[in-house]
Amino acid sequence: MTSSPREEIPFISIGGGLGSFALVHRLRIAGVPEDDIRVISPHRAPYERFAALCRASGLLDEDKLRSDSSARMDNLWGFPSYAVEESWRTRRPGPLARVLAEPVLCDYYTPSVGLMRAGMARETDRIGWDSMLVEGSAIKVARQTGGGYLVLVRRDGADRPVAYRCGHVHLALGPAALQISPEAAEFRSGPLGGDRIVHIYEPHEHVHEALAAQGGEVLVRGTGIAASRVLQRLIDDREASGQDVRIRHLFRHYQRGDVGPIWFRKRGGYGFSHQAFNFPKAAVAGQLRDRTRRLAEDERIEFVKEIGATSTPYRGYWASQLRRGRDEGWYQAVVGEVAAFKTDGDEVVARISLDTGKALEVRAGFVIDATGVDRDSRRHPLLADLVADTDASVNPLGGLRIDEDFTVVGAESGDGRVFASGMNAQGGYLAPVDSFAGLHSAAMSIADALAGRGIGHRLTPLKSVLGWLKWMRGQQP
Amino acid sequence: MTLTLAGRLQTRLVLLAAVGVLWTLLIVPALPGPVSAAAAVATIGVIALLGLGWELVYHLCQQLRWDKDWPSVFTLVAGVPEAVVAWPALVALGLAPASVTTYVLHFGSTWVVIWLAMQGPIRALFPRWRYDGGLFGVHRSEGEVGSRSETERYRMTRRTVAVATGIGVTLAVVLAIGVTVLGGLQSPPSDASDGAAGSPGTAERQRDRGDNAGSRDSARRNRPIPKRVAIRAIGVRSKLVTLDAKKGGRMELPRRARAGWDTRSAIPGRKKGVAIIVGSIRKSAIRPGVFKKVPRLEAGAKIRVRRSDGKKAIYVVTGMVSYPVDQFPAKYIYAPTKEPLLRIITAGGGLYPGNSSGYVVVTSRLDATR
Ligand SMILES: Cc1cc2nc3c(=O)[nH]c(=O)nc-3n(C[C@H](O)[C@H](O)[C@H](O)COP(=O)(O)OP(=O)(O)OC[C@H]3O[C@@H](n4cnc5c(N)ncnc54)[C@H](O)[C@@H]3O)c2cc1C
Repeated sequence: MTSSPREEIPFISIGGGLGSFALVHRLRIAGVPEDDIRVISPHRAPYERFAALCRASGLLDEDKLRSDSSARMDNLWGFPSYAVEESWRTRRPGPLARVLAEPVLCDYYTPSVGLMRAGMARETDRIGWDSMLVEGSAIKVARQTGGGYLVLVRRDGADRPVAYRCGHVHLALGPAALQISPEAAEFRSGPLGGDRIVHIYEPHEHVHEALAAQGGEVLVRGTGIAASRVLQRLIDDREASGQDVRIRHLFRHYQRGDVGPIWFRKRGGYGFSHQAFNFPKAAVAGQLRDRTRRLAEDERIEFVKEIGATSTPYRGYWASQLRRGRDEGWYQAVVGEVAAFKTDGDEVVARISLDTGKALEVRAGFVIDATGVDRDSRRHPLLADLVADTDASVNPLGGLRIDEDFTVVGAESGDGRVFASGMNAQGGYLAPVDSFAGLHSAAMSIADALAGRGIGHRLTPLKSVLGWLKWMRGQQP
Repeated sequence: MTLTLAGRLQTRLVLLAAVGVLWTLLIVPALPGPVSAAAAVATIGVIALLGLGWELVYHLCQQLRWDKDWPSVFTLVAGVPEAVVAWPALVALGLAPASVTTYVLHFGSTWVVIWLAMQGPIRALFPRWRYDGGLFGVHRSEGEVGSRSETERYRMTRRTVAVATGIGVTLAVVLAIGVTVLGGLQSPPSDASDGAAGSPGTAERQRDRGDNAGSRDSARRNRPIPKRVAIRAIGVRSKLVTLDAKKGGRMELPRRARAGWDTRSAIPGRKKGVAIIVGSIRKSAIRPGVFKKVPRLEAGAKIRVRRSDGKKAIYVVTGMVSYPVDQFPAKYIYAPTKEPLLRIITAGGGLYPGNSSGYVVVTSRLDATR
């Protein structure tokens, strides 16, 4: 059924998104040749999926990401940082001054989507991404007798899958799917389809166009960064078009102010909980990382949930928009859960059970769901198979169970190992593993583990500096 | 910067020992006023030592922050209290430079350089540093992936960290004490590294130098210089070598058996100003200092200095005072005077047989020039 297996490749990364990129970037810098690496992905560029999600959620090139200046996707050293680069390119000291004062005197500096993408594009070329890329989807990872793995790939347009033999596998497949609640899914299978209830990561320009043209009610679910981003966009629409755009914002949990004892106080208010990044910076490397490392799984997962609870960065402009909305009555918070969605004419009626126990019906032209993505690895066919065929297992946060080196526990094959990073590794020893900094941190650990298995080298200070100089000069690694 | 406590300590020690010391050696010559490299390096040692306590304080402050993050601007600003607290410690240890400006320039520039190093360059060298909470070496069992339980491996990591930090702390303490002792002790004049705060080498000299700067070179060639010194009362007869300030304003010392004339002091026989002659007072039997019998000198004794132009200047001893190492009143001793004086400064001992450190200063007034 498959074409004949090719000669063995030492290392294959499946996904080809930011997670694969971080690892391949690290391996290439420490001297692993292009021929020893294959990347399997349906996308050509490693930032394609990321960029698509940004675009869908309304983040344009000049919009700010939610990331630290030195969490630099295209440079494992984080030096020079995004702020330095931006200052350099724009010849303005602003970004640099800002990193100096953050987060005490001003909000954190964050890079823009365009800056991140441009850097990624350069680095993708430099490390020879195209020559390592196999375009297609992996449909199976199987253990080989005698060690190593067999990866079945369905290449675009080909009718038969191709098999690749390899020593080690890395998985960074991102989310299994967008998260659509059962009520919403049911509604979307009805007559109005997916037009009225949209997911924030799906293209949904029509919603903004319709509201800008004639105003109307819109219901927003979710309290994370994507939700606050869409609120800003809706209010911008309202102000630019002069139409009466009315926003109902559904909170599952409403945070009334700062909470917690002084040594663990979280900022919040008006329903939101505020944090600069998804996880505090200290969860990447500092004290909080140490703590996640020490805790046993159940405690760790509780802890990860606590420090990574849905939050959004506090930004002055955005807060003032919402304040105006509250004062003028066109922005209203509702606390509860949706029990069902119904159709009424061409409107959606959401039946909400309020946290007070009462029920409320909200009528809206559109519902924008910003509750996130499906994080459960078991709903990813490839991972579901892996869990079924090997001793690999999934933790309560939906990530594969991994050890400190990001090795998927139970999926060993002789000397071969499966590694995971990004969303597929959440719930492990690195809480922010699904962020730029986390992907790089994971990549360093995985690459060191691979070096211990004869693939590439550890980044000694000398190698590292030489690699860095090459990066600075834009030379091939 | 998100550092763990162990990471903080390691980072501080490593950066001060590498970057701080290098930077100090580089800028010492450029600092205003007399500064000895040894004392400046010892200053870094003191900052490292005090820093171990400071890091604990920062770590506690960090606990008050929800995100347990330590913004890099805090690290920068922390230099101010650290500098203020280190000053009295340096004064007490006799390591403080003569002027506060010198200290501020030295401390401030070192602090900024280290801070800058932390913002990037260090990451080019140690890419894992920032992911390991500021640790340089975390033990990782290569190739044994999954073979040991995570907690056990983590404990090993921590043990290694503890050991590494312990070694670092010990090194810093040894370094600090070593440099302090070396710098503070009166070492034999033949050792070039001699000198504590306030040993020969002062602000006055700066001024002299400034005064003559213009005419200096032409004048230098044909001006007479002292060639020999003799004190018959205690049997001293020695050629005089010329002593120049080393880089940093401190003076080199002659070999033990020789005396030397400080080229920046007055020429003996001049009608005003202080001429300075320096030598060792070591009382050792094997290699005694040229001035070992100075304690027996009495007021009224004569000191003769012969110059290159054949003239002889005769001075009469008026007094003798000894100073502990850290209390040498350099300003006073070197201050220009209206009267023509000669001061013999001896290093390496006091007036009594047991004293093995300190300075004795013999003051004499010009009696005649022939
Ligand atoms: C809008 C948005 C903004 C963000 N902003 C930030 C930020 O500012 N800072 C930050 O740190 N993080 C940010 N993140 C998080 C960041 O995107 C993720 O950390 C990162 O994209 C995860 O990388 P990944 O490789 O795991 O997944 P992805 O980048 O999603 O890549 C996974 C890839 O795997 C492919 N794939 C899936 N199944 C298969 C298969 N069977 N075979 C082959 N390929 C497959 C997918 O097509 C995809 O290309 C943001 C995320 C989003 C969506």
